[in-house]
Amino acid sequence: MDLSLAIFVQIIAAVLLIIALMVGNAVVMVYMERKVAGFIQRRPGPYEVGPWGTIQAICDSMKLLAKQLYRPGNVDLILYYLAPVLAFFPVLLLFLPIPFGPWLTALHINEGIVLILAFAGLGVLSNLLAGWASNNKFSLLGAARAVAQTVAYEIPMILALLAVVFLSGSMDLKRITEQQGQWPWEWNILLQPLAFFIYLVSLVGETNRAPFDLPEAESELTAGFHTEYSGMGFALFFLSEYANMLLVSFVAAVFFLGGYKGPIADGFWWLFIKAYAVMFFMVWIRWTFPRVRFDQLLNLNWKWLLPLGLLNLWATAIIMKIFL
Amino acid sequence: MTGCSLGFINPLSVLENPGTTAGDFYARNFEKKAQPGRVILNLGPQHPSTHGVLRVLCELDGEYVARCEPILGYLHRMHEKMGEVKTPWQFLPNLGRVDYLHPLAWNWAFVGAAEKLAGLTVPPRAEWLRIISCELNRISSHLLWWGAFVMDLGGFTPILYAFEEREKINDILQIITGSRLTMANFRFGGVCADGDARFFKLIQEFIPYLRERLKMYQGLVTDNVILRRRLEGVGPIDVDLCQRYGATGPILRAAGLPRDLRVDYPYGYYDQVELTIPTGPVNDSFGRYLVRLAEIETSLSIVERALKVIPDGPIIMEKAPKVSWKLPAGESYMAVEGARGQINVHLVSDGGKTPYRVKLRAPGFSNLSLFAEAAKGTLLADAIAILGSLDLVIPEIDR
Amino acid sequence: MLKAIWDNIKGLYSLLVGMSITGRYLLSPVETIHFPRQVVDDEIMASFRGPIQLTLGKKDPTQTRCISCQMCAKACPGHCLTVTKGDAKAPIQWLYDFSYCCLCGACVETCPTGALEFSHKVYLVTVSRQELILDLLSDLKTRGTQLGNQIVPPVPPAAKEASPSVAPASPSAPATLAAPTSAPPAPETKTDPPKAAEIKPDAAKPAQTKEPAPASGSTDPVAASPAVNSATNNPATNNPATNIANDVKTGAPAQSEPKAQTVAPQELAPATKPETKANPVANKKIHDHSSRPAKKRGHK
Repeated sequence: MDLSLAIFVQIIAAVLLIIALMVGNAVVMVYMERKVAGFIQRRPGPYEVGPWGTIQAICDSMKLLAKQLYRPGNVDLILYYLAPVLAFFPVLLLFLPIPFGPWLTALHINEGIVLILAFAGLGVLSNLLAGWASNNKFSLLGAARAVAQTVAYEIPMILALLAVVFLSGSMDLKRITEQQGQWPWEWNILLQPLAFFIYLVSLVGETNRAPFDLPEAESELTAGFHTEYSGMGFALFFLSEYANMLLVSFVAAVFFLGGYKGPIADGFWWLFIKAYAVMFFMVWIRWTFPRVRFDQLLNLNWKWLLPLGLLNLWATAIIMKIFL
Repeated sequence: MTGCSLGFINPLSVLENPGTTAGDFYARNFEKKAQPGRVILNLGPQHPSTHGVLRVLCELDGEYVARCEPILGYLHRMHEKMGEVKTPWQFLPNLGRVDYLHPLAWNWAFVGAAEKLAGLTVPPRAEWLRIISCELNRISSHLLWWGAFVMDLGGFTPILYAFEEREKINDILQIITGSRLTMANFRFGGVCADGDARFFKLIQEFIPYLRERLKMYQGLVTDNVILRRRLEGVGPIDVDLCQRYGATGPILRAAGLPRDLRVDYPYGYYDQVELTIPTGPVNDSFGRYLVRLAEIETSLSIVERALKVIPDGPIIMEKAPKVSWKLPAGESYMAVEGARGQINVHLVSDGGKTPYRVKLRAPGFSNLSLFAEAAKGTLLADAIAILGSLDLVIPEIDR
Repeated sequence: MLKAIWDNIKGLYSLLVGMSITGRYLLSPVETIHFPRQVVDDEIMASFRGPIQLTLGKKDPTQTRCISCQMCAKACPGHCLTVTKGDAKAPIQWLYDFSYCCLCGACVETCPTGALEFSHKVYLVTVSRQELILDLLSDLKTRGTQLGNQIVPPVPPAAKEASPSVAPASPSAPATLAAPTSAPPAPETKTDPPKAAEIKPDAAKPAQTKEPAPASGSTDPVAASPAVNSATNNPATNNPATNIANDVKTGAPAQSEPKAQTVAPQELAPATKPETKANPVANKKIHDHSSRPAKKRGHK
């Protein structure tokens, strides 16, 4: 009884902290994205508001809060208002199994990765609802593209993570972290480079980031499925997108980059550093490459990433059987 | 004109009752031939990737464009009418506004037409200055096209790099024209301002700088596999299609026909400049892309040659026409090669203070006309890529 | 199949090349200029064709060379110039509606006396359309007074004292350019940085116009107006340009500015004044834009 109460309290506290983490992450990511975009484009990015523009993101979120919630006529009311909420809340669940530190896991379950992968699919549902409910052909097209893309890119992701699961023999995120060492040459990335590469590509595809950002292709579909949202609805979509990015970066850090283990002292700081390095990489490629066309995107997935993932899995299994 | 800008049409009603939905005149007409099960989408007048205020009505079969129709007129500013009520001198600033990306070519077309009509000769130094400024303007127009094109395709960075070069060109051209965008330094009988030492020094520095930067563009964009896969094989426009619609410029050259007014019917001192016309090996969007980048290099070599041979002398003829000059009666026709194609001005005057008729032929109008045929059956993303590769500037199309 | 794999590998390499290029730019300094803390070099802006201004007079830099021939007003494609002739050839009012100007230079090139030139005011900022109607005579006065000693050969002290001195401090120099309104836009102080450094507090007073402390800047116009207005009732005075320029500059508390603007020239142009054939343009209603709010531009 006490134990389950303790776990219950632990989960509640974790959820609150995760909400704080998501919001804080959005603020930091908005700033990082705009600054990195600025410097790549030889301009400074935000720097008027606050020292070097650090308060810009907060001011933007206050602006979004204060905006009029404009709803076009003929929208499906329930779905229209449900979609951003549905985008935001499931992501909370996904942060629970992640081991932030040696003793900082919110929900230590044996099948952590299954929980994450299962609920990651809920995000696409919200995209679909938003696209349909907006009563707008551009949104509909964007939503249809988003569904096809997200469903497609989950599979190579699973295959890449499965290869690491083969290596460590368990789906528990903490075990996977513990089996990697402190130094970079002991991380899983050296043992599974192809899986890491496949995971990186499907990471970008899963979170709808450039160069795979067709659902929100700004120059073709004028913001795609969230065209008709303004103010808080848009903010929630944005927040959930960044939270999704953070989540998959955390998973990448845990599976391939050693999690919270690091050279000097193990702790949650290493996890954050690695996750933000992966996010920085995602921001970098967003501002470098043009967009991939939709059929090419799916081609890439079904014809290249999936066979490569299977090949990797097969090779891992054979090598493990023979040598281990 | 009550255009519906983001396709705010209930999808279900289109599927059930084609032809009876909301929409303006154009949309209703378009829908009459729509087949059931298809979506009518309005790439409306406000759209990030139609360059200017262009409306394209598309009938989409899933992602494929079954039929599309561009609708113009949202930016009609009646320049030709203004040509009839303004004196020739007063009309000069208008030409900069017709196509603000290559204004000096439009200036040249009109001023050349007036000079032909009145039989004025331009001194050599002015001719070379015209060539230098027009070619630099062409480079800046192509740079902006390049940046905007890649932005349409999703890469948001190269346009800012292109604008760095444009700033340098604008600095150079500001010295002789005084403006950075709507330039007008052509006068009847010459140019209005001479280049000083700083002008020539900046150009000398700019040429090798741009050549270095073009290498960077090659690495960042042209060799990029994503861009190549987006553009290769997309929107092949062959010579027959061009000739049926009267398309000129890089589109025609990429299709394989080496037509360039600077070589075929040279105006100014272009006959003293050796020009190699780049023609594309392939006639798809990537070919047009490569042709325009090659044209930047061609323009650079023209400017280099002009810098070597420019003589000293007056920049405007003796007894140049004054501000209140009247055109003699008659008509004349001048064609110049603009960045987008052939710019023609047909000038008819009856001897009065204002011309009787100024007909401006914009290359973009003919180039846009072939879009409906070229984009048939392609994916929506490909249609956008074709639209970008045509290098349209809607203000010159609507005039 | 193998070719496809090799193509993809080459493609991946091209992606890495692209990333290295943007990564290089990520780490290099920015190319932009942080306006208004930094401004573009004057050398670059020296060739810019900004709003037109009257050239400094040859003998007296505060007097214009304009002879009110109206050729510029006729040549202008946008009909933005209004030149009101005084008794002598010199104009008593010179209004320039910058909102219609396309900077073509027809006026500059057609002026027979060379009285017009392009300024280099890149940073012209106004907050209302009314402010875009620039009063060039008062602007000329300001510039002439500031630069007079530099450009013109030394003028005998008597003549210099006789010349009207508006002598505002430099913050109010922009006030004259944003002519009839009261508040000078702050960024205007950047327009002529080298020139604005010269602040010549001319103590000289003009012959008959009272100059009640114009040197202290922009808030004075209101205080100054009654005194100056009284001086404008006889237009046939020595320095009609001064009177009217001051009046138009100073007689403009914000609320009544259209009125002040129309009042001033009409006061100067009583029934005996030239509504003659000599300047039909000034008296003609140039164009009627009924859709715009009625702006009194100072002509009938």
